[in-house]
Amino acid sequence: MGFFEVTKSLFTGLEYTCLIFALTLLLALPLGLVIAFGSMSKFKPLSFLVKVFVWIIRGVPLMLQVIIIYYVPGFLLGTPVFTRFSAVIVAFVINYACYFSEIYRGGIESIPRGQYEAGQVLGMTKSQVFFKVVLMQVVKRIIPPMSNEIITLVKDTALARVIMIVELIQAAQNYAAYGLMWPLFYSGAFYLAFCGILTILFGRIEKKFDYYHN
Amino acid sequence: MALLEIKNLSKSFGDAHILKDINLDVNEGDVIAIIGSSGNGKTTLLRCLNFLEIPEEGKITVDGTVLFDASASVDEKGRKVPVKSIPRENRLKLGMVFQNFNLFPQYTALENVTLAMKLLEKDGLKTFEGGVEESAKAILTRVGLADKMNHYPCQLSGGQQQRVAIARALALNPDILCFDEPTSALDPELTGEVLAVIRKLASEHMTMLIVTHEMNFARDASTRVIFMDEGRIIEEGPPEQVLGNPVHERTKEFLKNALNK
Repeated sequence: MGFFEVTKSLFTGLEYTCLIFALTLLLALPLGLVIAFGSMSKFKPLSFLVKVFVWIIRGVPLMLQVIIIYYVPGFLLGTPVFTRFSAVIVAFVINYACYFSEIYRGGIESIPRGQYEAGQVLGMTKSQVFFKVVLMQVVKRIIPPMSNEIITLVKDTALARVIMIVELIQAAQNYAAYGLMWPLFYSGAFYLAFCGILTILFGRIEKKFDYYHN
Repeated sequence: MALLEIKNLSKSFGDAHILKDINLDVNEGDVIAIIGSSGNGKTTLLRCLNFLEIPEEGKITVDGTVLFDASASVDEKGRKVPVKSIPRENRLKLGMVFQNFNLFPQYTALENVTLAMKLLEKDGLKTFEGGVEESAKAILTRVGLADKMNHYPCQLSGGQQQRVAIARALALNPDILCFDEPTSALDPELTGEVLAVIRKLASEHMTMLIVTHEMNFARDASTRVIFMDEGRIIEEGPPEQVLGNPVHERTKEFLKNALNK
């Protein structure tokens, strides 16, 4: 088994890793904002329910959530509900949306009240104040914690293997059964490169917001 | 008829009765200095006029238009209910300048001024003769910031930031401009340039309500001084009378301390 063949099968694993990563980001980023608004709601029962939900999702291992979402609905209904891949996506999106929601909440609550008041006395509506004044300041403030969380997501994609999705690590581990160790390190290099690119990207975004400070 | 009429205005926070039955008429061109120790309702009065706090009682009228009337707020059975929201256009009669400027840090001085103008024009609530950009530039020039229009707030001194904030409020052509301790966050050197702008506005007959601790400024720039104590206006009159020859014991005591500083 040569270098070329291993590379090819690791790339197949990488495809799943990338798909899980991209879909999770795409769906969890907006859902997280919705959850953040829920937990900040002035309607107490809603904010209480959302907070309990976030507590459960953040308090239980993602691996267990993946397993539960894949097996339990199908078992209860007597027929498969999710494919392996969709189960992973659902579990990841919910889990990451909850983490993101807390980052959003922290960002939104860190904006001084005076910003809202200034917008209000200038006759802006609440949504205008949020989208034109507050949101951009929130984005600047949450880039560092967000990049942290997103880099963690890259490596969490490996959890998909618990329901037999052959992602990057599983692809490498398959060779270990044949006594081939170096593909394991090789797969590590894939992760390093992935996270390296993200680090550079986030650095650039941070720089884009450097033109002002509070 | 007075430009601004405040009738029986009251506001509490929980058990704390901050404003008690405030009555005040402000005529066009009046520059009213509101003085008194901290915690006696001066800032809350301005915040109520700008609806950053919603009063429990009272009526606010500007130029014949009722902006707020607690007694008119009743449910379908005629029972009195607290006012929950204020129509957007009712916020535009008065402008507000804050102690901490509250500029939008991600926008330039010019963008800080034009942001609300553009939104109001888009929503059909206001039009600006000669265009938004042009009138914003003219106003920034009026406050002496012609060369700082494209600077971000973090690149400006406190005094310049406060002048941008004044321009931002002026740009919407309010009938009355309120200042909440506009120089309290500034060192003495920068205080002067902000007070100079306010003096200039006074000479142009802008109607203003100014909460201030600057007694000299109150004396020579205002047309009327109001002394507030424990949520009430307890003395008012021309500056030379209130500051020079106060009647009320509390006013005398306050001024003795304030002027000895």
